[in-house]
Amino acid sequence: MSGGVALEVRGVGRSFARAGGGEPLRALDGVSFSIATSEIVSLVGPSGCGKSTLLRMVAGFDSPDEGELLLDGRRIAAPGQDRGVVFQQPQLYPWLNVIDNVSFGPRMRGVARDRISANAEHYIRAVGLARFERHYPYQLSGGMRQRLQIARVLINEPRVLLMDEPFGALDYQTRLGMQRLLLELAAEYRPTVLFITHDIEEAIFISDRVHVMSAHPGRIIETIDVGIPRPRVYDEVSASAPFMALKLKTLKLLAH
Amino acid sequence: MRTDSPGHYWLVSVASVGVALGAWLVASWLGVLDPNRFPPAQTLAGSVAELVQNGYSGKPFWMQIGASMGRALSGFVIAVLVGVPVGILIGSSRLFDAIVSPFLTFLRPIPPIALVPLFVFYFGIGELSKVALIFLTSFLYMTVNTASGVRSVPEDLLLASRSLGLTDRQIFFHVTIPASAAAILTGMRVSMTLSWALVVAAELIAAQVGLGFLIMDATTFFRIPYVYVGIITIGLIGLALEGLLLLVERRLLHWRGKQ
Ligand SMILES: Nc1ncnc2c1ncn2[C@@H]1O[C@H](COP(=O)(O)OP(=O)(O)O)[C@@H](O)[C@H]1O
Ligand SMILES: [Mg+2]
Repeated sequence: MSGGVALEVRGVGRSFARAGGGEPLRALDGVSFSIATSEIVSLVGPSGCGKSTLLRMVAGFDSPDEGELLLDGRRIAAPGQDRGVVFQQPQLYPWLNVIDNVSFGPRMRGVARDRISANAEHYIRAVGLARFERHYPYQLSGGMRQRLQIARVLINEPRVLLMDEPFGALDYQTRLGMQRLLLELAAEYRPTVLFITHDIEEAIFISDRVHVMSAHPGRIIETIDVGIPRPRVYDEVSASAPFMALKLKTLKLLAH
Repeated sequence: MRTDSPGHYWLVSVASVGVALGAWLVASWLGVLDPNRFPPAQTLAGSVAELVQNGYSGKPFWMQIGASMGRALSGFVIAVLVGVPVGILIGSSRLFDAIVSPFLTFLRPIPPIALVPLFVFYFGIGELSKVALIFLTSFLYMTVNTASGVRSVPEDLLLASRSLGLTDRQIFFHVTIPASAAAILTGMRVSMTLSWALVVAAELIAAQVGLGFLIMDATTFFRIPYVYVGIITIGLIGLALEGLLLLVERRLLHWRGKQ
């Protein structure tokens, strides 16, 4: 992994035609920020403020009307394995077991077999699914499916990890476990992460920086540097004064 | 065993069939059944033995079965071979869908039997008209099922696959096809049952051999036990074919699990 700026979002705007006609909907307006290598950056904001729209453009699923998105200085034009997408609803291959789901991407791209199997086992262990290699997705719980989805993108060693409310559909306990896992993985592999959530505590707990957005039009209204030292332990951090202060500040920003 | 377990209902089904069969056997034994209206067990057994030994209308019994199965299976297999690719095209191309679907939608509700006279007119009373009729009917079902299977592949799964670095071609063969397999197999099961039902119906009208012919001919000559043997044979083979495809489905689609 090279250092410096990994992802740069420059003056991005995107409008959608409304179903009933009339003024187009301004989903994003002049959004700019950048993410340095190994930084974890969150977007928080009300539903409909354009978070997913932005992430989809970074993934290469959609393109901006204005502005540009650069990965290592190159304009993003299409999806690719250098950006690993983790969807809220795990998008797994139900006909493949855990190890085959993880191996699938590299196998299709023609990576050597022995390298794939060593890597697959490594990342399956890293996300805590070592005992479930031969299980099929339908045999896994929601949290385990999300772990599997994370392993499936980690094996590609992506330049940026894109996570769109990845823990939003999980119950509270499982969500805490997943946040802890993400911090462990971050400490070990130092990935660059763009993370979307509407859970303020989650955003502060895992991020280096949090961009707070407002809707209609979707804009960044404030950027918060978290500055809580790592490694972070949930029980300690969540009761600490700086955490409380950041949480209150973010809540106020989102209140209007 | 708990009363709400699936095994419980299976036992009820077995018992229900058992009671009906038992009643029939008892009635046969008491001699209250008229062999030429509702044949008793011993008459039916005799007819089966005769049919197996002497055949019917100069052709062995297995040939009557074979003729029907040959027609049904050839129409069905060709329908699968043509219907699956066409269904995939319909499901993946809005343009192709717009071009061909009006015709398929119009043809689908027409009872195939209504087409028999026309098919005989065009293709004669030989094998071709029957196979063509079965092909058309199965084809219409294979295309809808396949197309709806292809359309139901989640958009995000395709996007996730592109993010893993798959080419369009790889997505088609390694994601779209397996993800549609369930719908394709269901289509095959429906088409298979339809083909089998239809071949017999087609043979009622114009055939010199086959189970449908046997039933029709035996009725004309008032050989009612033969009619029943024919009907029971058709039913058992239909069940076996359906069971076979269900087995294939369970084997191939075990991953559908409970979800
Ligand atoms: N493909 C689309 N067509 C039309 N409108 C869209 C489309 N995608 C998103 N939008 C609209 O853009 C706005 C932002 O959506 P989204 O990015 O999904 O918000 P968020 O993820 O922050 O909840 C919403 O008002 C949504 O309805
Ligand atoms: Mg969203």
